[in-house]
Amino acid sequence: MGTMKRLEYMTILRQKLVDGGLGNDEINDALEFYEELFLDGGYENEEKTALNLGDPEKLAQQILAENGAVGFVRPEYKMEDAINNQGKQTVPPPQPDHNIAPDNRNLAAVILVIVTSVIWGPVLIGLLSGAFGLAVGLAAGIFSIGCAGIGLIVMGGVTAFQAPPVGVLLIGVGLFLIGLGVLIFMPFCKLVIGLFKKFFGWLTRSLKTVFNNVTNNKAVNENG
Amino acid sequence: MMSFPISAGLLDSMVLAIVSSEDTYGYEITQTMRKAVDVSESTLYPVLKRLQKSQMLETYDKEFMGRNRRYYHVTTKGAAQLSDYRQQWVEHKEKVDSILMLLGGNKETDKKNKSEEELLPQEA
Repeated sequence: MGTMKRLEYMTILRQKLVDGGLGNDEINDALEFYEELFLDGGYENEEKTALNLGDPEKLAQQILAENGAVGFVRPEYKMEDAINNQGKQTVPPPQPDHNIAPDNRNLAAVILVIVTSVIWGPVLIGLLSGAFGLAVGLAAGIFSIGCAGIGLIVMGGVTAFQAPPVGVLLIGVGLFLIGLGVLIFMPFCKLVIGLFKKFFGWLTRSLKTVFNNVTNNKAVNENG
Repeated sequence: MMSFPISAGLLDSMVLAIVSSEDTYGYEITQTMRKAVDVSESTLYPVLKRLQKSQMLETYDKEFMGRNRRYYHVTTKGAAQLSDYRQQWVEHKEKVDSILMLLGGNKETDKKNKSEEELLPQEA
């Protein structure tokens, strides 16, 4: 009975530490420590040792917390599993297992995105800057029409004293250009701002979707 | 139940003290600790890990009955920390005692506080 106590305890502890995503070295280190306590405590005292150590699940959470791990506990894992296994007497002793790796696939995906951003990041930034430059250039061009209009009015004002008809013509053309500039400039600015807003909205939405997919996958992997 | 919880600093210093007298292993450390204070064996693993991380303790493995036993050894840094802890403890203890043990007849305190002796002649 005593032996079972140790095996049961160590099996649960190990499972919880693996579930918590603790690194293999840390898991083995902790398991070796507690295994040693059981063995040094003596075969006949294993139940007492288990009692002193307290709930293995709580112990695992404590170890995980000390190591800065999340402390994720697999919900469908049942105490009964360990007890049933114990009944069969076929459970191998909880030898430190170097093959079990925490599920790091999603982390890998995120890292991949971050690493490859070195390549696509500058391209994206370049395209964005290009579009922005074009918009500003066009706006400036339209704005200059208005400026030319003002210039022509001033010129016309001066010329009106020497050659009144030419002066009036220049003032007329100037007013026309200002009107044209205002008419085009305002809607153009609204259009460009609207387009940029739409683009950034789309960008945040798609980033959110990617992020949600990653977290959903993680949940599926951990539950499955 | 203990009315005075053991702080992390106190746990660290007690473990350092145990290991400093002789290199020893997990089970013996927990047993020695449990003789003095009501701590779960599970509290001591984090303490030992913490002391290793801060390079107060180092470990080596020794074979015992066909298995490994991890021995703990106090580093120079750990020894310095321990003497610092001990000094802090003495100061802390004196301060607490100066209030808590006022009626208990601490000789040093009594010498310093003649007036209190006069107030409590039955304790002198």
